[in-house]
Amino acid sequence: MAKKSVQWAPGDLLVPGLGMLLGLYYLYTVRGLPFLAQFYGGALSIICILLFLVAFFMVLLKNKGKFLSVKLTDKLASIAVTYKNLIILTAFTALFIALISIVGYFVASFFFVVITTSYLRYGDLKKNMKVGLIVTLVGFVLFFLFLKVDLPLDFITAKVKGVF
Amino acid sequence: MWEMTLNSLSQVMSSWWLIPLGVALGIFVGAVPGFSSTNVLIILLPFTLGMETGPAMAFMSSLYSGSHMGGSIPAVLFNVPGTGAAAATCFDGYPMTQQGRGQEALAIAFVASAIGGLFTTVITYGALPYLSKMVYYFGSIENFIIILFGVALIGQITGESALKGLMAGMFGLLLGAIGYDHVYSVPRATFDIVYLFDGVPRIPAIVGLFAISEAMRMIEKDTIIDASQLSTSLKEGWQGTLRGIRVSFQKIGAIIRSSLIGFVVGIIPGAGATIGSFVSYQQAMVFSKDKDQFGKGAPEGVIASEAANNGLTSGTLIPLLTLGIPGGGTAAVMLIVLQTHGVPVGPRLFQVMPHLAYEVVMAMLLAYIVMVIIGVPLAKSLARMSFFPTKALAPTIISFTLIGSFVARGYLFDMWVALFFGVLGYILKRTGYSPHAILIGVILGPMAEQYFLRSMLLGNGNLSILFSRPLGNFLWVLLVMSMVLPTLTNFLRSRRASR
Repeated sequence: MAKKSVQWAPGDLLVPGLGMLLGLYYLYTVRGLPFLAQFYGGALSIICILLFLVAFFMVLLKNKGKFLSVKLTDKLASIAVTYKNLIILTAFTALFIALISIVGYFVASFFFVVITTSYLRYGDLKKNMKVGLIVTLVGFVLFFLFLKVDLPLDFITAKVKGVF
Repeated sequence: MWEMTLNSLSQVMSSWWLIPLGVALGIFVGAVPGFSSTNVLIILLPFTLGMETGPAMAFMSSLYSGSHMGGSIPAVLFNVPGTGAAAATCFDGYPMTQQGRGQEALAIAFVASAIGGLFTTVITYGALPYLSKMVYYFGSIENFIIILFGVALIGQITGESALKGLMAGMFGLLLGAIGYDHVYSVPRATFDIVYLFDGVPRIPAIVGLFAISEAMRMIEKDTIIDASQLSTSLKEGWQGTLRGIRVSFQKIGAIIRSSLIGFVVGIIPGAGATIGSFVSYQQAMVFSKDKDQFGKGAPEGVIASEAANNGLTSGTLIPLLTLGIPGGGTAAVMLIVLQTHGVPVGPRLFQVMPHLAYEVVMAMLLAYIVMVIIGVPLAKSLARMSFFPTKALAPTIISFTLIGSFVARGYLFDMWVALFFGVLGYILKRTGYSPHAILIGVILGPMAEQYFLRSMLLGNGNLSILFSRPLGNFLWVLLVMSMVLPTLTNFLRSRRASR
């Protein structure tokens, strides 16, 4: 069977690009350090930078510079469409993490699950709220009561935990 | 010996109920992402310290064994490794679930765990005092080479292309090099974030790369299982479990080999189950005839990881009982209990209380038998969890695993790390890079650097120190052979076929 040829789209530069940026930053931070502290990470940084150049060359070769002619706004719009779910789910998750330190686990988890299931159109609001409540209660029993994990607690959770 | 065996058996049986309790608790705890047997044993310290030494050790070793098997459940069903040791189980276990073979994968994981654990526990029982000498032969150089076996996986799990696999692997290794160096303790590439001084936290990285990224991907489908397989899977009775048991027994040689790899790694203090399962997976992949199936749902992949991480548990008891060196977190908690009870660990244990050492191993032996009895019948019911609608499952996984990533260190920052790796994992999968390669770099990279630097210090900066020890040189030869032989064999086979 013929092997599928590897695609090298501009988006494929993202991972080696991150590697290259981290490599440059790494080299910047280890300058002046003793050799043994520089050696391992420094060598990896140089390899990552070289690999990015290889990836860049591959993208140029496979696309013959076509991607440079596409407008940046069009490109961003197409990325937003492709990664819509990722962007929204990431935003919800970031909100959950930000909220948990303010309003505590109970409220943050409940709202996160309800908002996410509603966005994903899992069920009507009542059903989504039920799921939110079940997930939050299971998490509470499992992590707080059984495994004794101390997350930042809001007033209600602290009160409930105090009872047990 | 027989008298000792009968005595230790009767002692363990006097509080037999602690074994199924420990196993069940261990399976449950192992299945919770971010939680390990160590955490729970610490929580339960007041309970175990209040018990007699023998029953306390029997309970702890049962829980420890059960936790390794429990880690495979979320790894197979949701791509969420309950422990670092189960990360390699995801590679093939989850693709099997996606193909509607979740029940089979779970049965394979349980049987391989139990047989692997049972086999090495028997070895431990028979050769406990002699095996302790092995610890003395493994220094930084040997540890470094053993880790390289795992790192070599980067070259083999390549994703879409070898070049992309290499890029992901090198990026992972570089991420693993963030934090203090192990010689001068100077921070490197930490972005001035205090939480990164100890390096990129492992649990959030695993949780993000596998669980969160998969949760973000799974909403693109209605269920985890491919639509074409869903109706067949829904109708399936016990066939999957029976198939899993049959496959496991057909591949008994692979289970024995993987458990032995785990066992040897377990004896080395500090090496840990994660290294054991990665090294075993690498070996299974290298010597498999169906190399291409690895990462796509190969039963051998699940066997390699699970047999190794359970084969390792009895190995970790050896330095603890014979030398008083705890090989890992769980062994350290066991040491606390032993010391509190005034038990002389190390060589004196075999002079003063030899029966206790054998009781612990006997309890572990029984734990593996109990594990089969508890685990295998659950495979069918557990596999049904993969039928849940992904639109409700995804937020549940994200919510639970974020807390799991918080548990290990107690920093909210770790939740952000998990989210970062979640997004990174999603992008990696979309663009044909291997998240497995990054994970191997993040997990094994810091350990490789640590042992490399220690070796360099031993040799005053001279690289030739890496080739100065007989056991080390033997391991180098094995490493080179494991990388070259399969390619050579394939080349010769294809040449023979073309003739």
